[in-house]
Amino acid sequence: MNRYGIEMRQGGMSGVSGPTATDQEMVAAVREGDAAALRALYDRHGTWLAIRLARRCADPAIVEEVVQDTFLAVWRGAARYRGEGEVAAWIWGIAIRRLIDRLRTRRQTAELPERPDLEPSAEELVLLGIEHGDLASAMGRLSPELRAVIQATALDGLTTREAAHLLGIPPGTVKTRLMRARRELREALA
Amino acid sequence: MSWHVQAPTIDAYVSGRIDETAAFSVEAHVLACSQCREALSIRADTDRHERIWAGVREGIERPRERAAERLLRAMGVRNDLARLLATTPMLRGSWVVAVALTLAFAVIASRAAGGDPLPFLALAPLVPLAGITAAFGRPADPAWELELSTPTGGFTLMLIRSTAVLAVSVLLAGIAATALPHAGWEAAAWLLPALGLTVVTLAATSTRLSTVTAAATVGCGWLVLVVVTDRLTDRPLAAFGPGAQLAFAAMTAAAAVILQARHTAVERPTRI
Repeated sequence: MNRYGIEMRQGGMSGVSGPTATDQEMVAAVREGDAAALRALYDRHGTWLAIRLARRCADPAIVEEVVQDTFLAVWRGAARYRGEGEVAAWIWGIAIRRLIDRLRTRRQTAELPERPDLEPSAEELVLLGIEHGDLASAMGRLSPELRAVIQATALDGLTTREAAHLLGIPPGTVKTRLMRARRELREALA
Repeated sequence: MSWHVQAPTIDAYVSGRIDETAAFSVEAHVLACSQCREALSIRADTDRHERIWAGVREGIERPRERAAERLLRAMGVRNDLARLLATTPMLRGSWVVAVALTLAFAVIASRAAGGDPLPFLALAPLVPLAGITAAFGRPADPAWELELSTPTGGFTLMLIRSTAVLAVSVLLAGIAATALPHAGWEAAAWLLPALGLTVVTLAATSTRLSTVTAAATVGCGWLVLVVVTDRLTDRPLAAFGPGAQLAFAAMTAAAAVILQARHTAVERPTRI
């Protein structure tokens, strides 16, 4: 906290919208109703967010709406940021769920009861990679369908149900594809 | 962080011409690396960036709807009506809490009086009156002058809000009435008086009387009537018997007719 204060004085910038302010400080300012801080936060995070969303949704208009919704949610929900962890990850968590909400109203995916015990965690995947090395080539050999469920669950941090909505497939299919993907990855890395 | 995404990889990622495994790497890294996020940001489409921001700013500047408004809309109430009702001054939480407390005290008084429902029955009809005083008067509503000049100002607005007040009052009083000691027909005997006093007050407002004066006069008249009938007759709850109920029904109808006939008078600013 002290360090940031010193940085801001040295930089001579006007408050938290200056380039030296951390994301956390900006979120704190947004919580106080500082629109300039929201703009600064948007300048830092709007672009990568739009690009990343575009890889999950082909309709650019929806992507724009979701980015908009996300920063409005940041504006209104800044108090809910717990003050720890990457602000980028927090923003991504909001954005991907907004995207799913948008897609949910478009295509009705059948909801099946879910068993959460089948999902690999991001940690699990990372451990697989560290232990066995060549994760990249193993991932490369997965079919696009299997990679898509790995992306939705391990990389995007979604639950089976959320991943199902995002990909437009039933949750049961997400689970079977996940199991298959894990098996293939294990075999490739063994 | 010592590792960063190489410029060609970033370009490939932005253009979408990248294999998925590499994209995974970029995305996992970008979430944790401000330097690489910046590298992505300088490749932004500026027009689009500003277009999205314009939408965000518009959303910020638009007033947030209250929870009550969202609830009303979810129940199928028209947008403009929902806003009108949600901004009704006396439907704010503080008013509802005050009414609930008043009714609770009335129930307690009735219980303390050996189960005599008179205190409750005398008070319950005054609740919507107090609400209406706040519903349509300069003291309570900061947008009072503005509302007089709007197309749905004056009479329509007063009716909409009075109906809302009456509905909430009746609901609250109805809940409170279930806590009366021996709740027989007496538990509902306040309903017609409440409706009658409300309509009479509204009709009185359409004359040169201010809302506060009208409500105070009608309210005091009501209390005098209740006390006097209670003292003069031997029958308990004389002011709430079948004959009295009929009289209230007739009075309500008469006041409604007056209200309809004189509604143009309410469109003019009343003296507060």
